Amino acid sequence: MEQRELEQLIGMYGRDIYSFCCYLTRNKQEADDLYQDTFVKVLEMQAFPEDKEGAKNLLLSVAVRFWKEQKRKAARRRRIEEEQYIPQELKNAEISENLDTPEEHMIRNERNAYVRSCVEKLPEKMKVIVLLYYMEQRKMEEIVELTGVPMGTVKSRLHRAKKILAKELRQNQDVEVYVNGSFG
Amino acid sequence: MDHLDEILFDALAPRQKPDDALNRKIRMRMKGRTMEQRSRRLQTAAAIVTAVVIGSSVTAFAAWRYLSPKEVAQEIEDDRLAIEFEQNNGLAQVETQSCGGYDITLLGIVSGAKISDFSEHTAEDIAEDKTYIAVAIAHSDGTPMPGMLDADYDPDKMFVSPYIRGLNPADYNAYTLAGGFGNFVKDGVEYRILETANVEVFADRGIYVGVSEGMAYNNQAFAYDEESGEISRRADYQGVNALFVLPVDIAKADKEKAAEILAWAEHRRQDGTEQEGDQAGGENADGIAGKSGFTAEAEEFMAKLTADNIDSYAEPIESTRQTVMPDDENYVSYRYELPGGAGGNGRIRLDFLFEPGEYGMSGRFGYAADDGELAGLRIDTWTRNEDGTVTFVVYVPRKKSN
Repeated sequence: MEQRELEQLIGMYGRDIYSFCCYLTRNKQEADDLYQDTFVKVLEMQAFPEDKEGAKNLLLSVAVRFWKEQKRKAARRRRIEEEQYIPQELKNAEISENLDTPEEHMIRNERNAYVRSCVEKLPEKMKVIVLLYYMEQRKMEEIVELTGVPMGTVKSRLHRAKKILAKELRQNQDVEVYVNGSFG
Repeated sequence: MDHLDEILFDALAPRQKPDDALNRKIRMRMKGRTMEQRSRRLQTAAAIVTAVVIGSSVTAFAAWRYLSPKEVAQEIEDDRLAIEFEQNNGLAQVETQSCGGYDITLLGIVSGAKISDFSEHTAEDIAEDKTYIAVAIAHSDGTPMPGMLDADYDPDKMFVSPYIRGLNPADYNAYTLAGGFGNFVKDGVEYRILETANVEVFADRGIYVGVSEGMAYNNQAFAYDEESGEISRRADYQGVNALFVLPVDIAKADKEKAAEILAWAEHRRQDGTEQEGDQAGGENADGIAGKSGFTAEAEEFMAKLTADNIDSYAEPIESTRQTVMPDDENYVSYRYELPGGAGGNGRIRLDFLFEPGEYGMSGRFGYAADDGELAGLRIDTWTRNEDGTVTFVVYVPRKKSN
């Protein structure tokens, strides 16, 4: 891969992959490292998918693989003082492109921040599926391929995650939600 | 009533942007690793060189239009290096040489331990001591150098390297001296910062910085006199062959460190099997003596491997098999991808692999492993066929049967 292709790659997928890394690791330094390692690894590959979705899937699969490996290593040397990386914009009000009224906008921002905090607390195995599905908008078949987890397990983890999130939202945000049982 | 799917899609839309400094680190790592990989393949291949001494040099002094080395370091977000260039640039006079349609300007040189924010990217390194050389490359006619997003952008078009008087530049150059570089284009000028082992410890010998076309040392651009040890520009060469003699302080010479660097570079040159990137180093890396972070098991495996017995111990990955013709310079190039995504490419000179008239598989192998482990070994093999073609294929150790 040449440098200009790297620039295109970063331009097209930098934000998606970095967001994914932030939520997976919840630690800025680790997110930075994971993001870097992912791109560098992909750059080493000789055959790079030309289609947009294929390229993104490759980046995500490498990120997931590195993340799993990192977790395995980190288990042996976990720091006592773990920095909780919650990007500033997650804590504060965010800029929305939708035309809510100021009040709706504020409510929505608060709700979204709460949803993200709930997602962060999900068990790791559920979290990665949720992020791939909702953040990266991968199809179920792609998630199976990216994670190596069987389809039934992916569906079950996603469904269980949604139930947990729905319950949290009902209890703490007074938001009425329903869980759709079918995916993809 | 809100639908949970909608809420989640909305709440989890990607919002975190990697900052520019992070993306620059990727570029630096990309360049460093590319050079590491190439050195693994090419360092020994480039060992043979013919030397004809003709030298001349046309030098001009004009650098007002370029960034200072401090500014170059700042552009690549390397604050420590920027400070170092500001305070300790070893170059009193900025020098420009014009050749092959380019103006090549040596902007600065600094050396020392931990003077760069990016120094960690050459993991299994020879030493913490590094030299950083800042260079500007511009078209002599003033047309802008292609930017990174331009179709004709090619950072591999020029090879910037330090050379040491008395040491064959084909053997001792940016590849074997643990080189890597970061670059960018600004206002039509390409700037590079090259990182290598600290070459200022060779101050008593004399140090050059050469810029030439191609991806490796170019013996058509430069000449090496084995008797005097002098390196010079070939006067009849029409391309880029800038060669700067560094005004280093002889007090910086350190014979002990120089010997360490030479031993390390020699190991790389002879062995030709440097592990790839950061991952192979890790806990097993033990520097020069320990040969590059491969486990003892992997080293033993490679030590016993010959062209005759390789099929007993290892098996080919058929998807990597390719038969190629040597080019005009007697090199063969190859490129492959392994199942699972890893891959490699290289270019190697046949003189290094085969004796004249020798056919069949070469007894010289390249090898690498992601973790330095036997199980992860990938062994590069080359076989010369009677029709003059060369077949390249990657082998992996056979799995032990129960």
